[in-house]
Amino acid sequence: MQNKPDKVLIDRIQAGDTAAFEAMVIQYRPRLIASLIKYTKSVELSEDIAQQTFIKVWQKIDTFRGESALFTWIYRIAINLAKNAFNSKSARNDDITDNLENIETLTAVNESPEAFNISLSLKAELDNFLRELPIDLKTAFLLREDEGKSYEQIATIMDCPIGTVRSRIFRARELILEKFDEIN
Amino acid sequence: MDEKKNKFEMLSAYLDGELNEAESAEILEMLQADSELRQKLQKYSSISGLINLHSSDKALASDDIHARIFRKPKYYATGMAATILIALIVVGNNYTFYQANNEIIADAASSREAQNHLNNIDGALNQHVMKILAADNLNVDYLNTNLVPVGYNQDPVKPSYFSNGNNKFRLHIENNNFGLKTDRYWNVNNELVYVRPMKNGRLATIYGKIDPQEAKSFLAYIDRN
Repeated sequence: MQNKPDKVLIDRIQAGDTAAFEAMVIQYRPRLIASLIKYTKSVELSEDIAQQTFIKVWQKIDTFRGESALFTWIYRIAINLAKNAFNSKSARNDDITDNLENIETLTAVNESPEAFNISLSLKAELDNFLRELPIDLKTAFLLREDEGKSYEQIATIMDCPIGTVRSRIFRARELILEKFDEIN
Repeated sequence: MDEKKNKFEMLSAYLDGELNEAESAEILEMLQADSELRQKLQKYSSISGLINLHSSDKALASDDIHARIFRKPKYYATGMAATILIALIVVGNNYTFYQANNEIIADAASSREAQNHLNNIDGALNQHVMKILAADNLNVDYLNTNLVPVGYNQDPVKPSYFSNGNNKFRLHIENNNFGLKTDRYWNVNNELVYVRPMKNGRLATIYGKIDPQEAKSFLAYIDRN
């Protein structure tokens, strides 16, 4: 089911608003890549598929009917592209090839060592930090991020106003970002 | 400070799908004009990506993946890559991004200077491509007839036009190479745009009906001579 922010976003993108499209890409790309990694088991392939997916989303946005959440629709497109990639006979595309019609066929991009730059210690610190968040913030945040609960549901679970849930999740995010900045 | 905090909190709720339509519209308007807000959205959504991966497949949650998902939040390569993609897409309805510039994006992830440089390259390059697509006869140097590769004909009336059997395209050579280091090409409405930074520091652009391999060969020949 389409939520209200999705509807506003989609209406704008369908009207040709590229800034809204950019906002959508920024919002959904990390989550899409993370979801694709579970399927492809490859970071590079997932990044490439994500890129191809957003091209396709732009081209096909007028066909989106709002019967599912926007991310669900995007993810379905990505999974189809991933399947094409696995079924395709094309391999790496370091050089220009003649196979240009097959733009939906994913070609793996060379791995970039420069992007592999977070140490084991950072990962451990992030994991520890999540555990060390103040309990109210951690609970609200994980109920939202891990379990996908709505603010209303979280408010019921935590027996607090929705506004408090919103504030706690926001503060949790800010604390996590402060921690990341410290570490980086 | 409260105003900033309020807008970030609103953004956090937007990411969770918890705003009404009017508030969502407001945030989208703000995102358009506010780069700090876009960066914040990038950071928040990166956390979601990380949590999403972290909770589902811990076997794959290695340093590498954290790096890729999170993309060093100070330098928003992911958002910038998205911006590049968008900028290319707006040029035409069927503008297809053929060639990834992952090496440049990866560099940008590790250096603010590289990021600014990339922003400048792609902004200027996008403008250049838009001009190529829009204009029939830009004020650029024409290729000397003696340098035309064998098998190609140069239009005597419009010297920027070349043909070879089924191929027909325009060539533009100009002084500004926008800091490009490698060739790039795109398909726009079933025609090719191919740009090549030349050895003499100039930029050659081909636009028309030609396949990339031929465009590459054509420009490589010119570049040698």
